[in-house]
Amino acid sequence: MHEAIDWELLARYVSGNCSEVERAAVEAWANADPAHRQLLEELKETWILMGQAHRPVSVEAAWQRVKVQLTAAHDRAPQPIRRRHPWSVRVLAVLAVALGLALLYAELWPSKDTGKAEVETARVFTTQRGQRATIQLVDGTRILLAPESRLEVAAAYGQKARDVALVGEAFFEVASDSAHPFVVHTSRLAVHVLGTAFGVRAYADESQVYVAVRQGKVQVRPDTAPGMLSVLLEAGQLARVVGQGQLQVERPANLEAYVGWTEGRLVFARTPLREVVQVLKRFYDVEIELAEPSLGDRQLTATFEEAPAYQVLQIIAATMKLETVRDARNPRRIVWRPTPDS
Amino acid sequence: MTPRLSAFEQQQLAARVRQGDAVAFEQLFRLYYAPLVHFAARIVGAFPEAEEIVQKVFVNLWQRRTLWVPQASVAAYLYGAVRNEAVKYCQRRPMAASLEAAETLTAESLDPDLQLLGNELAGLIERLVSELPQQRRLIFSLSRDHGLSYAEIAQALGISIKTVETQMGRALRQLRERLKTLLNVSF
Repeated sequence: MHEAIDWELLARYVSGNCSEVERAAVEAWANADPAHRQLLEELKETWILMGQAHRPVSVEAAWQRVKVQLTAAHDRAPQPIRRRHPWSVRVLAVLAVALGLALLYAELWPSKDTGKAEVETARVFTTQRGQRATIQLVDGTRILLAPESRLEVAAAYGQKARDVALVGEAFFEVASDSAHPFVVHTSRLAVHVLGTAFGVRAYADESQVYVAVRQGKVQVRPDTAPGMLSVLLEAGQLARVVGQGQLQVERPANLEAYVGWTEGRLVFARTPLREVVQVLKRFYDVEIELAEPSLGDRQLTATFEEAPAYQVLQIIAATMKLETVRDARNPRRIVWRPTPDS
Repeated sequence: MTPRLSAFEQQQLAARVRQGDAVAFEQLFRLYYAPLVHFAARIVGAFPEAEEIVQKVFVNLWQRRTLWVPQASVAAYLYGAVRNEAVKYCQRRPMAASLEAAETLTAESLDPDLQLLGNELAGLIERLVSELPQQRRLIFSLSRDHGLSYAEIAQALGISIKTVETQMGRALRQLRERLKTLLNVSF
């Protein structure tokens, strides 16, 4: 490329600020020379990569804070908002701040189940793809919720028992309190705890359901098979649901593989590509399609430490002999198909 | 990430706020608060302060609502007001703290809050963007992250469209070259 490149025009093009005429001119320029085309594609790629992953901001808490200030003294014009009960507004604001402490930066919206009075309803926390969230409960229990997961905290939490229900994956650091057993319910098993740190994985669309204990002891009972015996797990052990709901206990060489996601680690150990794809979708909020269903049977063993999405995708594609086809219209979507010679 | 309202919708919303419509004001707040906080954080370098700044801008706006006639774009007005407030804030505190902080804020991948993003690309992207000179960085961010048009960026920052064009061209060129060398990736 020896001739001058019009960077300003190219910037307008990739940022969506150019006219139809300019757009056509850029396309023609790119078509005229493979080197031009290559540069244009690189710039589009740069533009996509430079998209910021934004840290969630709690708009609700901020609004409550601002709302109180709007009704404050400086405001001379009579406004309907002023006339409302200043107390309830203030109490709401305090509540929002208290809630905000638990939910800050997590962008969780505790949605109330319908029907019952507020005090009796369970609280539900959910995460989207690409999101993780920390939930701090009143008793000091800390829960790290993995992407695309849902945790329900029972209305009567802490009164007799401490019941929560999980769909998805979470890591628990349970505050010790022998008078109030902590129980995690999932569709396939229940975990009884007295005070410990452990991870539970039970996504609705995955065969892998397990409990991994980092610290303390937990009792695991298969929920779907009432006749089955429960097992007591100690630190370093892992219980996996197999077959008809039986529990298989093992002591994995590297337990951190199962709870590593709490530190941004992705670990695959002979994991079918089908499930790898599910994990990647959740962690990076990308859409991945396998061109042939049989690809899903290929197994991957790999560990990624704090790796950016494009790198992970590139490495997996290379190791598994996959060709990546990008979707021109949706930068977050790719299709994997077998490389022609594999 | 910035909500795109049509020029008409923006003017309507502004008119309702001007008349003291609290519902319209809340709507405006909910639409723009989060993106404005991210923008302010780019300038002041810390989230709690960025939140304070944006909240202040909204409170001020409400207090002076009867005089509020945003020229072309409500978004451009808000980004401009936040930028002014953020710059004022930076001037009031010791020089060194502001930009240092801005540049390390999100590059720390171990920041527990940032982990919540679940997107580890953030660290690298942050580093590259933070290498841009400040004005170029703000312009690029308003275009890329906030989806403002060149005219809106010019209005928000009080500069000419020509400057926006020049800086955007340089930003893109610089980022692409840095990406290439840093990742050694063939796209």
